[in-house]
Amino acid sequence: MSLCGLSAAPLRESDLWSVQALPEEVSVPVVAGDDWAENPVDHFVLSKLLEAGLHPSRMKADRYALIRRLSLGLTGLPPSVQEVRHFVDDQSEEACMNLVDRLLESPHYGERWGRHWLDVVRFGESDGVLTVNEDKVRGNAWKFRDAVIRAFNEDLPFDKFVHYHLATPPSDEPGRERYAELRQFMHLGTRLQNNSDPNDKQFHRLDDMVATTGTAFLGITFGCARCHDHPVDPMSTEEYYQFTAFYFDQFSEAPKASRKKIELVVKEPRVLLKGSWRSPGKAVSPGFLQVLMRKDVGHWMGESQGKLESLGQWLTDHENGAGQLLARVIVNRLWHHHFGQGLVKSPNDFGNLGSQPSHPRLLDFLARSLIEGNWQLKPLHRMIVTSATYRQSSSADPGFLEKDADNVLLWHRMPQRLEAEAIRDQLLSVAGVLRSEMFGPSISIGNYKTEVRDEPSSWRRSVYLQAHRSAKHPTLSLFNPPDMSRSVGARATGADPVGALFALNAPFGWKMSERLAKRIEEEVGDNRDQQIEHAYLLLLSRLPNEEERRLGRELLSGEPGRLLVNYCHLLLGLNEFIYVN
Amino acid sequence: MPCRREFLGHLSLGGIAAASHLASPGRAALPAVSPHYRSRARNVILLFMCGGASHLETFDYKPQLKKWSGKRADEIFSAGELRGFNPEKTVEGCRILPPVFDFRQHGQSGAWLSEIYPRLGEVVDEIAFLKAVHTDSAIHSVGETIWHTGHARPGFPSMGSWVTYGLGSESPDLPSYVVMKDGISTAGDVVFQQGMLPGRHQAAVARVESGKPPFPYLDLPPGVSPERQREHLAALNRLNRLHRDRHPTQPELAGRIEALEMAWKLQQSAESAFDLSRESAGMHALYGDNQFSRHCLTARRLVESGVRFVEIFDGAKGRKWDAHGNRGGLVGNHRDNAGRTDRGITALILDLKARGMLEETLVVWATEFGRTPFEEANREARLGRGHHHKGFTLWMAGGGVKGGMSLGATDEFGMHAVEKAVHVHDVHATILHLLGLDHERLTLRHNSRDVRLTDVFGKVIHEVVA
Repeated sequence: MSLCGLSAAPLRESDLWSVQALPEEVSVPVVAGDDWAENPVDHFVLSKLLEAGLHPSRMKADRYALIRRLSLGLTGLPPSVQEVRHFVDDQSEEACMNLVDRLLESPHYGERWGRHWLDVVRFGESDGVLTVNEDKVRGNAWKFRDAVIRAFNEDLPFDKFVHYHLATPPSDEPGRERYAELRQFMHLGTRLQNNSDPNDKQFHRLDDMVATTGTAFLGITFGCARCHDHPVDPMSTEEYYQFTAFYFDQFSEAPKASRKKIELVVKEPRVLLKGSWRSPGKAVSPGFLQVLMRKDVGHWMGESQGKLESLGQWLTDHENGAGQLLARVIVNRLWHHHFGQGLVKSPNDFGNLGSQPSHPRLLDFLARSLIEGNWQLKPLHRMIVTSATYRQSSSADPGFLEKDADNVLLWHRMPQRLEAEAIRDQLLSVAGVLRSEMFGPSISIGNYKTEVRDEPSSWRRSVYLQAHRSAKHPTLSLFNPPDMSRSVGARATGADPVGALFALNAPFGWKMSERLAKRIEEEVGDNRDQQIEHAYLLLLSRLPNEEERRLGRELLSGEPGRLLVNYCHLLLGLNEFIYVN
Repeated sequence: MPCRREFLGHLSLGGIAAASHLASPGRAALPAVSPHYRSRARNVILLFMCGGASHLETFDYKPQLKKWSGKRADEIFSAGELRGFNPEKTVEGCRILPPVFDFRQHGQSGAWLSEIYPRLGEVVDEIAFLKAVHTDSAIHSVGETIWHTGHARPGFPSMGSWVTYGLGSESPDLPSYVVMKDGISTAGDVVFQQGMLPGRHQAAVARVESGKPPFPYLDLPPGVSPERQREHLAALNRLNRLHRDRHPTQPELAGRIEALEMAWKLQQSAESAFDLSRESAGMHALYGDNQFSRHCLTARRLVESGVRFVEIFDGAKGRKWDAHGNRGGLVGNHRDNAGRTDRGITALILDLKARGMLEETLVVWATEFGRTPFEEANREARLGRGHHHKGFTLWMAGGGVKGGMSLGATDEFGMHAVEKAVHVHDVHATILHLLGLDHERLTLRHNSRDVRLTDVFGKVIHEVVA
């Protein structure tokens, strides 16, 4: 205990950038004589661009693009036609601020950003056992999802949010009862099938929890440490097993495989040699990562409190524990979703094998702002989306492609594909059939052999569809849904012919087109020009250009019949519908 | 490595799209990606016998077992040897069961075949048997996942996905990885998925049923004619191209336009590729007339049209190869299953050979594990064997494999792989090798790790390479 309080340095030194102390204050590099910047974020971005001989896109996104970007980004839903028109009519800066505030206060913000978080904590509503006919649904998992959505909407400080994943909220927490469901985090992971060895079952769950804790909160992959010390890992093998000690008594595995009795070999937390329970080593107590401890372990561990309480305290302690890294990781996740890629390109890996930050000082600035702002995420969103960086146009000097094809330095806005849920939600929304009721038990999507169709009874936001691990949703499965067995920091965005066939022929797409056509007729009548304009506003939040109008009139001339339905189907198949500029 | 792959991945799609305008329909385009080194095989047909086919009743003849008949397993094997099978089962008291079928030698190579394969003898000299294969689990779902993906956990790419990722497609109008299945894997369709690889490497699961479209959403919506759809697509492409030109920095936009083009072509060509009525009566007679045979015949047609990797998954409910006493019993189960598949497999090899395609088409016969040399201690009326992953048989033919050979052996009980033992990872490495791919270089960077089909294992089995 002699070190206690004496040293501000971590107990073990590491060269890893992400575990270095966050500066108390991060100075903003002001670029003289440039009036592009709107807020501090831009100064960091601009100075990097200029260093590399690039400059930001001088064109701002127009009002149409901006409201679409903001609405889909913050709520996962497109703006209504009326909202678009209002926003375009009022070009004041105030209108923009009001829009951002309104979107952040929308209950749909929590549905959107809650879904992002569900990826990170490998949320699933079935056991995820490999043997698919035994993959049972977990009846109460939806309460975790609801607690996440509420926490985002209420802007529960992120440090508390994390803490409540591990320990019960204190009695003075106003949202105590609903946030208590966040503790389901411990049990959201996958299981092994019933006929597995109970020792395997036990360590499968422990591994899952250690891995998810590391990845979701700290961006540290603990995988290698299970079997051997790794010079590049910030974690030693012993520390890995110390982490299992936090969760050890959470998972009391029945000592049997199916009905056959099999003893559990490891009855207390121990180091496992070569990662196998067949060769248990010395006993261990709970402990933290030394590279993220500026105090002795007793600083967080107390006689009077539970182990998980202590873990929560250490994770969120931004003075002496892991809190600074926690802040870096979450602000990078926000950035990742706003720009399609993070300042660290590997949002789940801040270790030596992950990417280096492209803008380390900006990352630190944002992390520091989060901590100083009582860990509330909404102000941070506001700062990011009101920056000039965010508002850049997606058209830019293509000459810069050669220097920075991946847009790492943010010289323009790269169109970004929506995730599966947002694509389906938007489809339902523009067709006018999306029901807005929130929360509650999930809507079944069938199981491994019975696929459920996307029928009117399920036309709610996709976050309420059951996250069944061995069922495939007919629409979501075509747009790279997350792997629900482990933490996901970044979704894939590939295209394949089967998905394209769906777009061409699936009855669901045609049904949506019929609804959309009917809606357009109801709202603007049968004037073709107005129909075209209305369709563009509804689907793409903008007005059609001359060529698009001409093509529209061409397609809509002739025998009436299903012309408008066909036209709607065409527009729903556009890339622009699922890529946000 | 990943950069090269990604780059070539882009290139290959573009290349296919461009080439398809020049090539006549159905003709193979240029190989999309050049392999790591000289390839022997260009295509793979995987025949997967789901449920765990008994090596002792098929290809691994152990007459010596007769002398131990009826002995208890724990009188012969140590506790350690009996550990690690399907954990829910107790095997100590189980009694040794000699092979229930007669065996005979066939071909120049004199390979032993069980009586339940009366036809396979005709092609046995094309086959290389691997008689000392082992894997990591004797649980169906885990074993099936390891065989297909090289990993015991879900979420990793299937072998077929790796192959198309490594070699690209030679078929401009068809998916490069097609699965035809009769039944469902215990681990579900996850075994055919592309995991962390791009979506286009996912298997297209085809339905082979006369008069029905092979893939979902192939049929035009009611009231839409092909011409109408072509116009529809032309307009869509025009708008999408304008959009792409406005955003030249987002490469995915071009990828989606190509995917749509491929979908259109798939509609045109899929039906004919799957249309067995275009085959002669002689062909139908050769292959026989059951679902498995139809899958085999279709597989040959698909390979002819350039499909890279075809899997025929055999494991319908009620007749998986899972020969427990309560599942129809070992005798009935294996007699039925072998009888049902014998003709199709034999015909496939004969047909490929006659067409000169066998040299470049690797045929792999596999199962997730074998069966124990002892009878299951159950109270069923019929004989059965339990799951066994420590030594079993797989085989390969064509595609640069040395025919008429057998590699490795289990011990006299058919229990442990003792001579030239190979793990499933080694079989994977060998399949990739025959295709010209180095299993250690065929990687994908994911979550800061290089993911591989062979995980961190695998050694090419050079003995079977011709």
